[in-house]
Order: sequence, then structure tokens, then C-alpha cells
Amino acid sequence: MEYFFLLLFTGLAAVLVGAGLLTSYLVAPHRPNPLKNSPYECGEPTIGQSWVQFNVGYYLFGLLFLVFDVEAAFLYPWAVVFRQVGLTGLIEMGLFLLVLIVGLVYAWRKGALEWV
Amino acid sequence: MTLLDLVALLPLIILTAAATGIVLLMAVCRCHRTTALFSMAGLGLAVISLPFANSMAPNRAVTPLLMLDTYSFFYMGVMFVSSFVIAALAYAYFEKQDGRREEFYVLLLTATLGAAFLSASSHFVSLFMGLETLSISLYAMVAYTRDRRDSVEAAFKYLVLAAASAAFMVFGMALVYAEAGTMEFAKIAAARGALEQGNHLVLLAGCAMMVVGIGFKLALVPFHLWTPDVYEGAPAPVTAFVATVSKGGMFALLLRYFVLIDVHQYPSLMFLFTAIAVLSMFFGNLLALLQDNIKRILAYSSIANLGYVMIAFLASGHMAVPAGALYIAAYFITTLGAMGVISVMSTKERDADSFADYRGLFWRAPWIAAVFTAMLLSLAGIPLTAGFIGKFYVLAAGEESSRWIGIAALVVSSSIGLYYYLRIVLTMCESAEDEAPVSRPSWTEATVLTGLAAALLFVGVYPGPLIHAAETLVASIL
Amino acid sequence: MQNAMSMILVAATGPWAAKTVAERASESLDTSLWAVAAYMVLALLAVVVLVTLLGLVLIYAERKIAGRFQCRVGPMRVGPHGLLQTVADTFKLLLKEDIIPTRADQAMHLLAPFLCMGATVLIIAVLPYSPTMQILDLNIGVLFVTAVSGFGVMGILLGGWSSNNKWSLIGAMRSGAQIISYEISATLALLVVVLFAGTMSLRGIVESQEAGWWIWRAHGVGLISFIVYLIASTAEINRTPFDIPEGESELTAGFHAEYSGLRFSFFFLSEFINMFIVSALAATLFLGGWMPFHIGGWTTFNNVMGLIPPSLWFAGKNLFVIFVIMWFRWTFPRLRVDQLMRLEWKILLPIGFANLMAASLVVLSNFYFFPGK
Repeated sequence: MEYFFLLLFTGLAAVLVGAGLLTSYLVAPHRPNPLKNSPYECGEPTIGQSWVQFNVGYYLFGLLFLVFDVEAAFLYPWAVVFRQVGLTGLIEMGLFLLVLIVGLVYAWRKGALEWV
Repeated sequence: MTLLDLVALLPLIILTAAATGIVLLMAVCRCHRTTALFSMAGLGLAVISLPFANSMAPNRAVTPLLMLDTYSFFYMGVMFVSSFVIAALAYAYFEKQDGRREEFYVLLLTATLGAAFLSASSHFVSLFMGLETLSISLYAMVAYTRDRRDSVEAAFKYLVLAAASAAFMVFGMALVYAEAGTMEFAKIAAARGALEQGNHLVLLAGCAMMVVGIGFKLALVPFHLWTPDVYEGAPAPVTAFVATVSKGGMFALLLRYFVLIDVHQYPSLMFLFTAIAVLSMFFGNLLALLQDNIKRILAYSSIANLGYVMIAFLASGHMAVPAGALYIAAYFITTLGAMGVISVMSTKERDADSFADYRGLFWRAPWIAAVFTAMLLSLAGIPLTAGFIGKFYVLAAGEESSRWIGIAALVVSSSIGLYYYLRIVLTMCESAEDEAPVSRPSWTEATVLTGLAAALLFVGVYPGPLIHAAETLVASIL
Repeated sequence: MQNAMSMILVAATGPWAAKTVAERASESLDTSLWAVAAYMVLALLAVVVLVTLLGLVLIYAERKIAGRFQCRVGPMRVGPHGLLQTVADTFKLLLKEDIIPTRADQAMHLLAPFLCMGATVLIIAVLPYSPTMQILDLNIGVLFVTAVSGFGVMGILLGGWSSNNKWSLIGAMRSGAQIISYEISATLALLVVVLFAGTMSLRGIVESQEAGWWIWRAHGVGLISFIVYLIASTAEINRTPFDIPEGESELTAGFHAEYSGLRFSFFFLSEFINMFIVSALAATLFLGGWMPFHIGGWTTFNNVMGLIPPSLWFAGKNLFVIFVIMWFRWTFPRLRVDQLMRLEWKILLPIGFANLMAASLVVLSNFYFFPGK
């Protein structure tokens, strides 16, 4: 039942936004012209596309995020059953975290955490 | 998880700890020598822990994922020693290079860990985990000399093809699981009887797709296309790793799986693998004839060699296990030696992989040339070398199970192979006055090469202990 | 139908036993399908009303509070004390032209606001407002909330990228990097409470705080993780001092520079609702949610506190956290991107890890000053 309700709300979210857009489409004016539809750059004419290669720093953090987010996904079930698994669980998770923290220390020392 | 489980896992734990330790070490101080020594110490400790683990916790299944028996410990030992040798070679090799060199040893250790995991795997999950740990480390290792164009190109080829083959493998696993209802090798083998009544098609399709993944890793025809390029592009120590450890883990796993399901029950699988073996031998040896690059020749030679050892696979269990183990040990020593020579001869700019680099080597550096000749003769299977013992045992195994097609192919294709090995030897004998003198190998390189040559001759002349060790493996797996 | 109405009456005035709307609906599944339908309509209506109300109230509050902080009075013209200002703004936005730039990726440009709003609506449905006012309770509640809020990032990245405008792209990339970085600290902070409560269900977490809220009952680690969570979540919703993705003075409007009319307002609204969501999460996990201020063992005191209805407790805590976040905006200057990354990766993350380990030791010791159940 919970998940059925969830499905319902997914639908609701779509309908809510869709209905809003529809209303706006019906009541709002629609008079496009080339200048209005050009990219906004504070009045300057745009040079080239903006779909370009981007600063690699973002991807570096993206990679780091991936590592730690997956680790967080492992931590959730561990946290739920922590009372049952007790000290053994703590040691095992501690070792797991240790490996990741060593990785963080490495990335830190290597300068991967500096914004360039 | 009991204490004995931990003891059984000790070699793997030591390796993981060493890899983590190196990462930490690099964060504290960057020193190539210390890092290399640390990784070698880790590998050495892991090797030492093997007999201890074997005697304290013999033939132990740690969770359904891992089967830590004497069989897997043997392969781990062979692979750890190889990685140790590769670490020593890499130290000498990267000393010639600029840039960050320390990370290589982390990758080396994690890749070795993945291979060790494979050799002990008894479950699809651990199979895939080991495979990916190994592969992902290898991508970076192949591209390690990243200012060389070849190296990066080879890494990309390897990445794309390995990812595709891994996808095949996982899909095959899913199909086998759908049919057999379990992911444990032993249970799949046990479920065989029940499966025989039903429709085989899904199971066979699953097996076939897994063969793609396995064949890729072992570089068997027709999944060998990456091999020459990766061998050529990768730095020489990495080539040595790709040729040995990376194949060893998958080899151990495949052999274990074959023995468990008793492959003789499946004529279609037998036919498939015979075809793969024969094709690998002929393709490998014939294509090697056309090459003008030593690394590519060795690549095709390794394809052929894996083809030879497939004959042992098709023999019945009690012969297949020792024959496979012996052949792998001999092949590892030989390949490491050959790649070691290339690594020693390489300069900062490029790896020594053209015939010109070896012209007249007997006059310029007789000792290196002698070692290389010994290795090449062993690859060709000339008596008094380790390669001969391996090949002999494989032939014996095939003969006992009457795999005549395979044996015939082996004999014919080995004699073709002799030609290109001797071609390299002859090039080394040519006179070359104008060649620059070879720089003296460092003491690390000299020790490694001497050790490998000694091992080669020792196994070739007095194979008793190794054969005995290989034969004890049968008891643990059957 | 009558059956359904009476059941809803019971739901509204019923005893304290915590029960979600979804549970009630599944209970009446056998007896009356009308009741199930009624519950569904009720739930949907409640969320729609809540979203609308939140938009109106929060935007009004933001402007009034901003005014007060700057010794102004804020909006005063439309309605008494400017109360209808937001309503007027909504109509204005509704009547504005909806522009899709010619060079934009049309489909993605349209999709982005859906993702942003969809995430907020889905999360609102699982929050516990009081024992009886919760639409559905998932046994993976906390995980669900962190996972679904990831949709919002996708909406932002998609919106910024699809606009094919340099400001938008820079804003979206900054926003993406910032949200994913701070998400780790937020997750680690939430994990501390999951560790104490031993469950991920939001209702279960609230009920676990019967002997005291985790912010003070957890020997300090709760407080630390509350602070970490507050900082990280402020960054996750792109509010000052972490508002470089929008940074009006440098990026015009960041990722929604090319959005106008109602689709702009969806981004705008989802930011405010996200503020509500993170405050609600902070209130639920650290401040006890609808649980009154209880001290384990002090029965009389607890009973007195219990006289205040749980929904008021929740609203009060929630509004307090919202106020604090608004307060931040007028107190701290904007961070530079390198400072932002340093704060997360070199300060908050190590603190988060240390705190998590400390928390697991506390849970293991099972020692609390005020005994619970």
C-alpha cells in the first residue's frame, strides 16, 4: 500500500506541474521573436555554443562523491542492524571506513581536494 | 566469521592491508624505493602466510563466496611470487622514467588481489568481484606510461573490450542462474542431474556467454584481438602482468569449474573447448610468424600457450589439475623471464620491442642474451627447460584421456612455433658493430633475471618437487 | 461513503497511536473501497494544499524577515501587511510569457522543472507531521528522502545544461558540485540518528525519541551531527552563504537564467519547499519531530508537555529551523567556490566520519543519562 501511494504521488507531482504549465500556456501571451529567444548574456551577443568541455575539477569531485556516496549506501543497512551486530559489526565497518579514509587522506595529500 | 576463517583469509588480508598501507605511505612520503620495497614486503608476507594458512585452516569454505583450499593457495602462491618479480622489474623499469611512479604498486597489489580472489572463487559473485578488481586495476596499469601514445591507446582498447566481455559474462551468469537457481559452482554442478531432463538451451546460452568473458581474459581465439595491441602498448612490466597473473586467476577458476561440473558429461562444451584450443594454437603460432615486434610475437605465443594448456583442461580431473598447475608454473617463469629481458632492455623513451634492439645482443650483453635464449627455448618447449616439463605433462594428460585431435594440433603447431623463437635467437647472434652498448642492468634486474633463469633450469632438470606439489592439489579439489 | 466519512473523523480526532493514511487505507481495503479512495483523495488534497500554503507562507516570511533584518518593513501594499503579496506574484508569474530559447534542448528544458518539483512532492508525502498526520511511512524513509532529493540535483543540472547559456551551465555545474559534495556530510549526519534509532523509518525515528530528543540525549554527538547537517543542508538547498550557483551579481540567476513564467516559479517554489523539507528532516531526526519535549523517567513533566498537541510541536520546531536558515542569509557573506569545497572535504567530512565512529561507540555502550524504553 505504501508503495502504491508513492506511485500515486509520483503521478500527482507530474499532474501538478503539468496542470500549472497548461494553465500558464492558456492564459499567458505567446509572442516569440528571435531576439527574445536568444540566449541571455546581459545584452552581449552570444559567441559559440555553451555545450563545451568543462573544468575538470568538477569531475574530480564527482568521482570522489561517487566513492563516498556508495560507501554511505553501505552504511545505512549497517546502521539499522548495528545493535544486533554489535562490536563485530563496528570493527568490520571500521576497517571498511579506514580504507576509505586512507583514500581520502591520499586524495588530500595529492591535492585532489584543492579547487583549481 | 570465526578465527579460522580469518586465518584462511590471511593471505588476502595481508595483500589488502599492504595496498592500503601504500596509499597511506604515499600520502606521508613519496619515495619510489620505499614504496617498491613495501609492496614487495607485502607480497612476500602474503607468500609466507600461504603455507601457514594452508596448514592451520585446510580446505576451508569461507562464506559461500570463497573456497580457500590447497588448490587456490597453490595458484595464489604462483601469482604472488610473479607479482613480487614484477614489482622488482617495475622498480628498475620506472626508475628510468619521470613522473609519479608510486601509484603503480597500489594497482599491482589490487590487481593481484583480484586475481587471487578469482582463484579462490566458488560463486558467481566472487567471480565477478575478482574479475572487476583485476580488470579495473589493469586499465590504469596499462595506461601507466600515459605520455606514450601506444600505452593510452592500448588501455582504451582493453577498457572497451574488457567491459564488453564483462557484460557478456554477467548476462551469462544471469542465464545460468535463471536455469540452475543458484550461483554457487558446487550447487550448479550438483543440479546437473536435474537439469539434464529439462531444456538445455538457456543453460547452454549462459555457459556460452560466460565462455566469452573467460576466453577474453585468457586471450583465447576468437577473443584474442586485444592481446597484441595491449602487449605492445603496455609498459613491459605490465605486459608481464597481463601475460601471467591476470591469466592465472581466471585459469585456476576455469579449471576448478571444469573439474567440478565434470566437463566430460557435456559433449557440446567439450567440442567448443577443443575447437577453441586448436584454433588458439594455430592462430597464435601462425600469426606470430608474421610479426616484426618482439612484444607482439610474445602476445601470439601466449595465445598459443594458453591453447596448449586447454588440452589439459579437457583431460579427466586427476590429470588435468596437476598438468594445468605445472604448465602454469612453467609458463609463468618463462614469460616473466622473457618480459623481464624486454623490461631490462627498455629505455626511458620506449620499450625494446623491435628486432633491431636485439641484433648482436650475444656480443653486446651475453648474459642477458643467454637468459633470453633460455626463455625462448622454454616457450618452444625444448628439453631441459621448464616449458618442456609443462608441455610434456599436458601431452601426457591429453594422451591418457585420448584427446588425439588436441595432441596432434599441439605437436604440429609447436613445431611451427619453433621457427619464430629461433628467429629471435638468430637475430641476437648476428654481428652488429654499430649498435650502442647496452647499459648495465641494475642489481635488482640482474638478480631477478638470474633467479628466473635458475628456476627455469631447476624445474627443467629436476621437476620432482614441483610435480609432487602439483599432484597433491588433486586431493583438495576432487 | 458514510463509512468513509466517519473513518476520516476518527482519523482526525483519534487516539495517539501513530498510523499513516496509507495504513488506514490498507486496513479498509477489505471493507470498503470507497474508504480507500477517500483516503487517497484526502492525501492528495493535503499535499496540494500543503505545497501551496508553504509556497505562500515561506516566501512571505522570507521577505518579511529580510525586511526586518535590514530595518525595512518588507512588502506592505497588497493586502493587510502585504499578506497577499505572494498571491499577486503567483498570478503575475502565471501570466508571464513562457520562453524556451531557440538554441536550448527543448525536451530537457521542459523536463527539468518536473524533476525539481516531483522530488519535493514525493518527499513531502513521507514526512511525519504528527502521529496521525503522515501520508505514508517507508521502512527506508531516511534513505528514500536522501535518494529522492537527488532528483532535484538532476533537475538543476538538466535545466542549466539544456538552456545552452553560459551562465546557466556555470550555475548548474557549481550547484551540482556543491550539492553532491555536501550530500555526503548530510548523509553521515543523518546516519548518526539512524544508528541511535536503529531504524530508517521516519515514524520509527520519532518514536525512538520518547525519552529525549537525540540532539541532547546522544551525549553531544547528536548536537555535532545536527550542526553538520544544518550546514550541509543549507548548502544542499543552495541558500546563502552557499549560493554561488545563483550568485546574482556574477551569474545573473545561475541555472534558471533562461527560465521564465511559471516554469521559473517551479524552480523558485521547489527551493522554498526544499528548505521546508530539510528543516522538517532536521526537526524529525534531531529535535524529536512531533514528539513533545520529554525527559526519560520524569513522568509528570512528560505528561504536562504532552498536553501540547504533537502537530504544534512539529510546526514549532520546523519553523524554528527555517528561521535559523533564513537568519544565515543575512548574517554570513557568500563563500568562494574553493572555500566551499575546503569546508566540505577538509572540515565537515572528517568531522562527520569521526562523529559517526564516536556515535557507534556510544550506541554500543548503551549508556544514557535518562533511561528510555
